[in-house]
Amino acid sequence: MSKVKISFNLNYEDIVVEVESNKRLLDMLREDLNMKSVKEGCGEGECGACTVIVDGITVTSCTVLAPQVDGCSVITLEGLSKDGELDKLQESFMEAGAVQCGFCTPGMILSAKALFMKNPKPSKDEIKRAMSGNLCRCTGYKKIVEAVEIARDK
Amino acid sequence: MKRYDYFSPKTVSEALDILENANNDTHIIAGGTDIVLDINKGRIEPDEIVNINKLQELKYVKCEDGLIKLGSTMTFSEIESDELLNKKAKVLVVACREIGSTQIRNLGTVGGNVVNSSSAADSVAALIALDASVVLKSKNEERTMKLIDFYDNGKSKIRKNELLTEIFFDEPNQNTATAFTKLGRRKALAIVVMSMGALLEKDESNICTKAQFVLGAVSRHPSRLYEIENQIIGQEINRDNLYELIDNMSTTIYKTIVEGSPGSLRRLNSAKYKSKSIKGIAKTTFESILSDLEIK
Repeated sequence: MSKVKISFNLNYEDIVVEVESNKRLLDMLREDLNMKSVKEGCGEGECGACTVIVDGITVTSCTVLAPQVDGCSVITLEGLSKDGELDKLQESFMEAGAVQCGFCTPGMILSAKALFMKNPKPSKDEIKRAMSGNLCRCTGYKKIVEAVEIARDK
Repeated sequence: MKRYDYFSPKTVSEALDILENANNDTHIIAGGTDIVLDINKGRIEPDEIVNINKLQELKYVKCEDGLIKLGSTMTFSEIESDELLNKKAKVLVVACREIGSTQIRNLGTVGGNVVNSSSAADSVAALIALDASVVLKSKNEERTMKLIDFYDNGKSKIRKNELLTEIFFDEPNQNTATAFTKLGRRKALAIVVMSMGALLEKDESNICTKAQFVLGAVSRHPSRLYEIENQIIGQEINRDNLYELIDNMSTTIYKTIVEGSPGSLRRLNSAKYKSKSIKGIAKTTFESILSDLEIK
């Protein structure tokens, strides 16, 4: 029984997948489902680069086993640009100049997205706290927080 | 990586049936924030993984028979936002709130934190301050033991065929306050350097009727400070009396660390640092309690 059949909703579409039981959610998303926006940073749940939204909350996909999302809804960055239109967060990150190398960006945007799903008008402190599990080595965070505030106010 | 068989039982009863046939390489996964790393780094090589994250029976916080009971797969985020716990068990809420990051709190469970037995387990320190107990179920047996007795020098006493289903503690009365202070290197994603959990109960004349103090990350497992508790029980709870305990706490920490690893220079430096930093940590903790008990 080392391959497991799971059904879940990926980016608003129901799918059924057979996956090796020892794959992480991160690996299944990148390798089997071609969701390349999900990045592996530390592989230890400490950097947030691999963040995805499962059942409305952010998780580090490198610490989740793929079969565990059976019956769940999963959102990656690809799910934010439906029909080619960008989510307001994606726009604001560009507007604010909050992207340098871009590696942390998918995780950052999803953390902000999950925050908006619970609290559409967060304060600056609430934004910082919600995103404290996403590390960035390039920007110094200021423009990232500004980007989220711009999206909030749109 | 070795392939393993994966089970995702839908009920506790199903899970216990599976665990009845557990061998040494059968492992339970809930949030996965510890075990997935263990697997990937080769620290364990499971034959079987039993996913308990779908067991709704283990997700609850309730008050029953004078006890507050938590299901073992409550995540740190769920504990952080629980109304009853915010009112009655601030020590646990604060401890869980400061674990890891948003993502880790969304995944990590209190049961996993307890069984993983890390010396840095923040929720364990808080639960010991509440004098909590754990319930261990197997197919044919149910055991209950105090959390402080659950560890044996780095390992937990859970058996391979058991599931930690519930954690409970006495419901604090309205003359009780609890607090938790964590010292870490940064505001998030910080492994604890040292922490303190406290519970103080008083009577109408502000005399202390119960004191439970815990230090985290000083000894191998969070430890109670029984001698220091006895110094305040029967005394009036006020700033002077509480602050007077701090020197003793400092000495106790120094002794515990140095005697735990005699001759180690690294541990000597740790003893020097922690015995000093407790002064700030204890003051913060005591001020929180004084404020909650409305003692000026």
